[in-house]
Amino acid sequence: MAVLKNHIIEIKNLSKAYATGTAESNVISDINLNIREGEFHILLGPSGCGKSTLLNIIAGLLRKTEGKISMNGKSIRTPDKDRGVVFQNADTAIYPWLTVYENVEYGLKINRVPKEERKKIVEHYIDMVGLSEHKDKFPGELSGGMKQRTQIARVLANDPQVLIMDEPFGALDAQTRRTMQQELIKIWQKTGKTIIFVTHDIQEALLLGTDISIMSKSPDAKIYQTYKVDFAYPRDETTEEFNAFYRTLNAHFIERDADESYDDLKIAI
Amino acid sequence: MASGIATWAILILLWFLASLSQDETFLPSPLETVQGTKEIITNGKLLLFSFVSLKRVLIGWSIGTLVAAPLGLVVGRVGFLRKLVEPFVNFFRFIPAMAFLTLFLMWFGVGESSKLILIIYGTVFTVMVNTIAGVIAVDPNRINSARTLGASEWQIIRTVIWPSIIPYVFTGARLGLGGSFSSIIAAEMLASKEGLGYLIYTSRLYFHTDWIFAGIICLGLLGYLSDKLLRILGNHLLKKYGVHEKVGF
Ligand SMILES: Nc1ncnc2c1ncn2[C@@H]1O[C@H](COP(=O)(O)OP(=O)(O)OP(=O)(O)O)[C@@H](O)[C@H]1O
Ligand SMILES: [Mg+2]
Repeated sequence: MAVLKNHIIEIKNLSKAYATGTAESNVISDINLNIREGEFHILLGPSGCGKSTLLNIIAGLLRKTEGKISMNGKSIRTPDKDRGVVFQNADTAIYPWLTVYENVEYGLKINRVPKEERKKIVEHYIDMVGLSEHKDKFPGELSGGMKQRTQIARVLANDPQVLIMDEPFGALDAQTRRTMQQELIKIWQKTGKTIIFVTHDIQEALLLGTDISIMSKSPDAKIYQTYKVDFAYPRDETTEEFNAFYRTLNAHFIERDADESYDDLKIAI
Repeated sequence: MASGIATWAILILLWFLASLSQDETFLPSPLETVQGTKEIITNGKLLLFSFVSLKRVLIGWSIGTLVAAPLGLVVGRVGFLRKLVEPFVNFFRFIPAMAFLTLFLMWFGVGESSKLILIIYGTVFTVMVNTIAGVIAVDPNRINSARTLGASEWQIIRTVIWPSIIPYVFTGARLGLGGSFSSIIAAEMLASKEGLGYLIYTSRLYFHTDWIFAGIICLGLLGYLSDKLLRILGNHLLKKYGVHEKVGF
């Protein structure tokens, strides 16, 4: 086994309550999670459990209520270009008045990267996501998948240490979704970035992640358990091991329906 | 286009029929109006007065729009300013600029400045209300993406909010232009020796109802053409900001 890398993100006893009426109920509470450099870390949980809430706190877009959260030992309080975010809705995240090229260039311009260098980086990432032939198009002329690629290229061009993705393929059809998953794996392998990826699709989790953290239901959602996935990439969802793992993960969600509490669930792998 | 011509043909026909039984000073026929119009075209009055009115509108409206757009952006973006301005805006939005005409004449005199101030006031108000609405409507995702890419608040205003609100500013400017024409006519009726409003108001004294018609038609044409021009410019220059989608009518 390879030498374990450092924790890049450390989350300790983290809680979040939204300031609406019942102030005492936490959406997520007592979250503990460490993410190592280079991990492809999946947050898997039922709809409404607080996955986006947790991601937004990691991104620095949302304030925590209690607990500690840090990146490279520094407390997270505001967004930073070290933490790139790919939003679920590419439609509203990329800018309709900019071409694909200009959208990808946006972060570099904001951070005053010199023009010559900018051009190289932009073209590199547009090529990586396969949009070279469409770089002068406006978002209005792109399909949903192409918009999401544009967003991913824009975030990658900014060279963040951590890539935060909130159900980025949720709005895509099955075919496009599969292609994007495969491309994301390649990009991750090529760049070696740390990725935190939210989904409620168990198969997607197993196809992509090196680590899968299961979240329980809100209120007071917690990280229930974290699994390591050692399958080699590209992964084959038809193998027996894959399906066995699928059933293991799925058991969490079935059990939840039968019995609201997780505490007496014992799952070992 | 064809239906447009039909509309006008029907209108002129109705006008003609109605004028048959009426005295010329009460309702001139289309033909009498054309003859009357010829008179004021040849003596240069119509052109001069149109030019004067148009000049006042364009100067006042341009200044108003240029002031209101950035002002609306700042007010819309800064929470406490917005709260401060909101009750004020919602009170004054029901008072047409013309209601201030006599006050402005008293405060700023009967010269050019009171008329410009009236137009500027009306335009600033309309454009600002629309701009603020635009700022509020900006999708938070747009702002959050910029923020996570490292944008400062000033960069967000410049590169995200401003391009996002251009369709709203544009709509406000169009509405403001319409309002400017109303304001200037009213102002010229009360206090001016020139302009289409002056023409329309004083022609009555000379029993030249046909000149009133000429003035009104000229006003309609000026308004229509300037709005059309604005729309064409908007469609061409601001298309990528989504202006073409917002302009349907
Ligand atoms: N701004 C907010 N104010 C109040 N409550 C909120 C807010 N945002 C989210 N919530 C609540 O917090 C809970 C978790 O929301 P969140 O969006 O984090 O869930 P999620 O796991 O991302 O769900 P999904 O899978 O549907 O995206 C939900 O019950 C939601 O109603
Ligand atoms: Mg979510």
